[in-house]
Amino acid sequence: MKKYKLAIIALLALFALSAAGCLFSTMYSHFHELALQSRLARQAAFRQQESEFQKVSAEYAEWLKLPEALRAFRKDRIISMDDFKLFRDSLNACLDRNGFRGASISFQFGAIQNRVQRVTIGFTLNGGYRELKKFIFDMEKVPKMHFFNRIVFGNSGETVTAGFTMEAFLGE
Amino acid sequence: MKKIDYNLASGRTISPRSFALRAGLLLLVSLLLGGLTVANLIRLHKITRIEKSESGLLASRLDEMNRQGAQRRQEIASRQNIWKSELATANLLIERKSFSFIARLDFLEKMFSPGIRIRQLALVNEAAGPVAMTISAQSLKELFALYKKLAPYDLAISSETQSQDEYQVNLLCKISNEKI
Repeated sequence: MKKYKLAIIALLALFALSAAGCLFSTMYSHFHELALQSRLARQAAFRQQESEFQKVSAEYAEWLKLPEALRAFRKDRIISMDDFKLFRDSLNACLDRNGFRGASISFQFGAIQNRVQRVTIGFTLNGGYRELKKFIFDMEKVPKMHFFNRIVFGNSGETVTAGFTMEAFLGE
Repeated sequence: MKKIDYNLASGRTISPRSFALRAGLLLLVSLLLGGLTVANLIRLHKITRIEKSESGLLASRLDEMNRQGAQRRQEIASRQNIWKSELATANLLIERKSFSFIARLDFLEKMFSPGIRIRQLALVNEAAGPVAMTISAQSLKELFALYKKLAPYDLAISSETQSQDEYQVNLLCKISNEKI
């Protein structure tokens, strides 16, 4: 009889222990789930910081490329002294090609800023609208850094008079 | 005298078979609960271990990112100071080079009907694309049709002169790159 009693006590103790363990593990699991929320929030904050870091990195990469891009811009677009002679030849050729031979052209050289010198070019042409437009088209498509600053068209009978102000940028 | 025998134990005798069955059942349930506890704790331990290593990794990556980010921001600021003015000049030149007089002339050609003549036209290379012109129209209908067409382009009428067979108008409008 005593043996049975002992066995019962042992079994009940074992049952109580395992039930308590199970209850503890369930509660622990529940608390773990709650902690998961804060972990997710931390991860979201991390992801946000990561995306900000990537943006900064992309911007940084752009800035690293900038000196080379500016050098290339200078080399390809800004007009050197040799190019300036070519530019004037091409301007004269373009004028000739569109029937504006012997136009008088003024050049005003400005101050040098950021290693670039501005040259203001002024001239007036008289002719057909079509030829004037063709001349503007030809000059606009040249990739070097010169462009029209102002154009004033006036009607003079059968023809059109156009006053041009151009700017060219010189630099070595 | 008949001896009365009380069998107090009858019915309360523990049947070994029944006891073993119940005890076995209790043992089984206990073992099941214990097994569940162990499995759950092992699972949680594994998760915690992974999370700890992940959070350690995240923290070290975060530190590294913060350090590099600050360093890069500093370098960007210093590069901005060095290249700012040259970059601004280059951007301004590119913007002005991309201004197209031809596109504006094409635009005006499309806008004007045959009854309207342009007497004078001034185009300036500016981002807003200001256009000043003097026009003459043969009829009010054509003139107002033109006003209507130019209205979305910040049309400003400076002056208008009406003579017997003509209307002469000085007007301004803005044709920006986006509107062409």
